[in-house]
Amino acid sequence: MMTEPAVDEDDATTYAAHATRLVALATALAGPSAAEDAVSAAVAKVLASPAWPHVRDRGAYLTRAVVNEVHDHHRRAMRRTARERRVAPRATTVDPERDPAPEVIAALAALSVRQRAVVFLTYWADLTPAAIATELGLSEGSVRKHLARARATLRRELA
Amino acid sequence: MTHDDELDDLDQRMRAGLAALVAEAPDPPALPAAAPSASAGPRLRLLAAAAVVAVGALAAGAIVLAGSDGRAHVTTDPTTATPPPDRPLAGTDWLLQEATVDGEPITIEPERVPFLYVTPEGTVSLYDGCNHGGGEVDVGPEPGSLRFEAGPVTAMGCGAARGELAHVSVAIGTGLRGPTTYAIDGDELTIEADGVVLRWQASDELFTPTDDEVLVQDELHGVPFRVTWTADEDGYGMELQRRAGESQPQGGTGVGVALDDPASNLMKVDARGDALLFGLVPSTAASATYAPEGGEPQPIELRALDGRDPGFWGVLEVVDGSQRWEVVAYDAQGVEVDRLRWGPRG
Repeated sequence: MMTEPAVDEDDATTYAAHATRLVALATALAGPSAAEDAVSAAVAKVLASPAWPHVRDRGAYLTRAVVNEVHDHHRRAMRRTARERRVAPRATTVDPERDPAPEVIAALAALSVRQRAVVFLTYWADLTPAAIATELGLSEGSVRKHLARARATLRRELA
Repeated sequence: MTHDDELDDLDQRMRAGLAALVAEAPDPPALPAAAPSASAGPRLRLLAAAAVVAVGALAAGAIVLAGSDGRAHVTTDPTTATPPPDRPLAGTDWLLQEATVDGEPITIEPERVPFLYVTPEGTVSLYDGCNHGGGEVDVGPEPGSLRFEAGPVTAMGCGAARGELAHVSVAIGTGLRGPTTYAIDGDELTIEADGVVLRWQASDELFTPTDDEVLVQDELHGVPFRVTWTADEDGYGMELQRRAGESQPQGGTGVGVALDDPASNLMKVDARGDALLFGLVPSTAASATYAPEGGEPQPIELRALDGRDPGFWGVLEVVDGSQRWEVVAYDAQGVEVDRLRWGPRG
């Protein structure tokens, strides 16, 4: 017989403050159909992490957890071969009749998960590279590199 | 359209496209409710639901994660499911997942995830997020104890320019020095020492994750290696990762070439003498050869990067870094257009 859950009010408040944003991020990274599972899995891991009670910037920690969850999922799903691999994995399939902005979804699929995260935080969240660096736990130089490469790929895909 | 106009157009399209995509986002899932775990057992705590929703036949050991909203998420009940077997310390690739110092989490840069590999003989291969190193480790004598002895390590500077990276390498240096305690739970390894807690995850990947494009992934002399490359506004960078071989720890090296110096070429040598050839040749080059000093020239493949001029030398193989090398590039008529030599000094 299961006991009543011991819900931490602090966790509930934190989650409520970031849930919509996290689902939006997961939608951009993995598509609408996979977003809920990605957020569920990421948040479950965060709550189970012994580091969680000590985290100060909880919003950024949750952001990184969602990005890592999507990234790990793709790594596990990829086929590993010993041969040369030139094409980045594509996360979603596009249905032009059902998906909104199918050309953007297709273009995003050409990016790595980290590049998608940087693009999302740049264009949807309107964060500066410095703020994105803090959010994702990267150096600002890495963020700028990801953004430059992502833009080059997006220009090509959207041409 | 100018470059700035192109960027503005791209920015507008991405903003509009992402807004449309996010508008289709689902409602946030219910918050998983967590109960404290009684031991340091499985990382996933037992999760309870406010209301159980029938989901049909559940696999053995499955429980409902959340149900009061009518949605059911099935996960594994750690108290009934068969736990995964413990991975061995030796022969397993361990990737760092979390690092804390006195409870304070340390940033791990996704592109520079530290890894740890121990051979059955106790030889250590380590990448701390900045430098590669080796060493030895002894297990015991007390259960759950380890003693590390550091060996040769590269001396790359990875300071403030890389954010908190320096803290990760410091945390690892503290955690893997002298006597430590360790515990393996399934595919997770925890190492603790002097207030540092390092949590590693077993990986079945041959090499550490990267977002850079893979140029070559193959074997040389029975040792798997991988070369990745990346480009930015300033030039190109290539990185070699090599698995542990006989009497050689796992390791890697990297090179960078600046666009404003198209004749530049670099060969990097890691602590064990491996090296890779990389450089730029004029766009008039149609073929090229490489040879050790006094040796027989071998053809080398020219590869174009993003259609840019000039072309560049692809990696033919990992070479002996103790030798001096020469590369000669020829145009379509067989006339020499470039000749480059490099190798260890002295």
